[in-house]
Amino acid sequence: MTPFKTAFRYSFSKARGQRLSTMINISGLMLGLSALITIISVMNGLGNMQLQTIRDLMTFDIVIKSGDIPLDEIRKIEKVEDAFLFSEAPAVIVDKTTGKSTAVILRGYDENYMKSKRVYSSAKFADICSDDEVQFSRILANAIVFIQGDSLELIQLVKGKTATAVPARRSVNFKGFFNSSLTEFNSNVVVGALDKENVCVGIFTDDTVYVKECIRKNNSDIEIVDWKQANMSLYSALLLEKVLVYIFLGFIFLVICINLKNSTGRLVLKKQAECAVMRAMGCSKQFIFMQFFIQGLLICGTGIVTGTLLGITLSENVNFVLHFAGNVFNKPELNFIILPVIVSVKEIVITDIVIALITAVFIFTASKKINGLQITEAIKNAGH
Amino acid sequence: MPVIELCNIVKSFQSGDNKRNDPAILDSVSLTVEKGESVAITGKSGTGKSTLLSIAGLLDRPTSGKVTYFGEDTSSFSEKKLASIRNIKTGFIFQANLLLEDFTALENVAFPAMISGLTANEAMKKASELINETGLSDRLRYYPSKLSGGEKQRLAVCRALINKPEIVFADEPTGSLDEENAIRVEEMLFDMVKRRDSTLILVTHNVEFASHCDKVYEIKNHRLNAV
Repeated sequence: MTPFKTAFRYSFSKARGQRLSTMINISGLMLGLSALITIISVMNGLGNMQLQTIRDLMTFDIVIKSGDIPLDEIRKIEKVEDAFLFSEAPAVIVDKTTGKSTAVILRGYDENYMKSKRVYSSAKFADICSDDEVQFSRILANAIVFIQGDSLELIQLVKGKTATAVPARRSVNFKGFFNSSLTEFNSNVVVGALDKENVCVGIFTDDTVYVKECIRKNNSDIEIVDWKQANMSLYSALLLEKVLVYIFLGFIFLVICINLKNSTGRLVLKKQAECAVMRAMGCSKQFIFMQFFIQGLLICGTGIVTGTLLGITLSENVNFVLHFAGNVFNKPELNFIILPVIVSVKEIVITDIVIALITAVFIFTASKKINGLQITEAIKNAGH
Repeated sequence: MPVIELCNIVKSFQSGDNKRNDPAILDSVSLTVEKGESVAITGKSGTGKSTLLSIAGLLDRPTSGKVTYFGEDTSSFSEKKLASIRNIKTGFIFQANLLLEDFTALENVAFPAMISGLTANEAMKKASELINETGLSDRLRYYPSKLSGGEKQRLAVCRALINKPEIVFADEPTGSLDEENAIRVEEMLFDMVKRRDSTLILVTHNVEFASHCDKVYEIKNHRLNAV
């Protein structure tokens, strides 16, 4: 006889609702875990889609905030695929006809870059701008009530002779509309020719860490950021969102763990007389403890395995489930939603391990109560 | 050499929050039991019969005094050794049969054999043979909840004897049975113990039952006296 066998019998015993209690605990773990996996997979998908959109519009992997380093020198660095000049500066665009204005980011690109295959994959631009030409999106045009033919003016801060910065105005011509998949980009960005006063270097590479190190070796005081650092606020927001989901869904597991601890504790109390008899038959304290501990682990393990499988299945078929629910509950709008999903095996394994460990601690504390069993006392009580 | 020897056993229980010991329920109790003997301990309710049996069966420790098994003082035995002795050297029968409710009749009887290290098949075979002796061969796959009180107690006797223990402890084994079943269990117990040449220490307040034993003792005024 092994503790595993007695644990199995205890888990699925028909006596006094033990089987029901076991099924409730397994179901709780299974549903909680599958919900967590599904939500996290959808969040991963949405987060990745968001980052991908940003990557499409901020294509450079590394940006050096000055154009002092010759492009040829950068292109010679190992693992650098290509490098281009670009400019970026805050400005105000004014529709002189309507008098409306809005604050924008004025981006200027190298002609070579606009002609290259690297150019924004999710944006459609008008032709390359000359020094006095700009292009922007229809959203921005609406903001300044722009109609083709209106005269435009750009106001930028430039270094003054005595003041740190003074506003400089210049008239510009409208080159055409561009359209990108990122609303923020459409609302805030005006694309023009390369501004030699605010020039930066954009680098394409798969190994940002290595290339940054190489550049820093010879230019220690240079300001250099990779695309992740440039979008740190978005990264942090996505991470925070994920952590909050883990915390809120973590409460479900806390409730499940407490329930599992209580049901194990109840089982320990219920089985005191039987355990006393087992001790009288020669079972060791460890055997008695292990049968309760294993019983809890059996529930926890079954819940985690089934929950993981259900979670992965749900994640992979979340759109089918959504559309099915739309048809069942007569909500046709759900049929238009296509949720992106990324199932991260590493994340699931870590989550499973953490849940298993926390649950094991709760079961351990509940099972430990049996170690204080007084054999004669328990047998006497059973007799009465 | 006696199989079991109790020397000046004193047992008192702690009560209340101040952990003060109440007056002793057993006071300077001594008993020597030889191999193959059957010994009955009688006395009124609450005189400490079951407590004495628990101490003799190593289920409880005395407040003071010595319990010797086959010449060895058991006070220094580890939990592991005590568990091993309970499994191999002794067998227990309780008034409330206390069968494991999640196991069949066959598994209940085979349980001590499996703990002792026999494979499940060996233990089941042994248990099945033992149950057949008691005429319960048609109840092997029954769970305790489907058995009568007499049947359960007969299985409890089988369970106590499956490892051929040197000493069998029985605490009011017929106390909760009707007369007919009590006689049946009583006869079975004596017969099976005798055939295995085991020692029987029996607690009962049934004088007729006790009279079948080789020696009868009575607990009176916290002491054990030969009758």
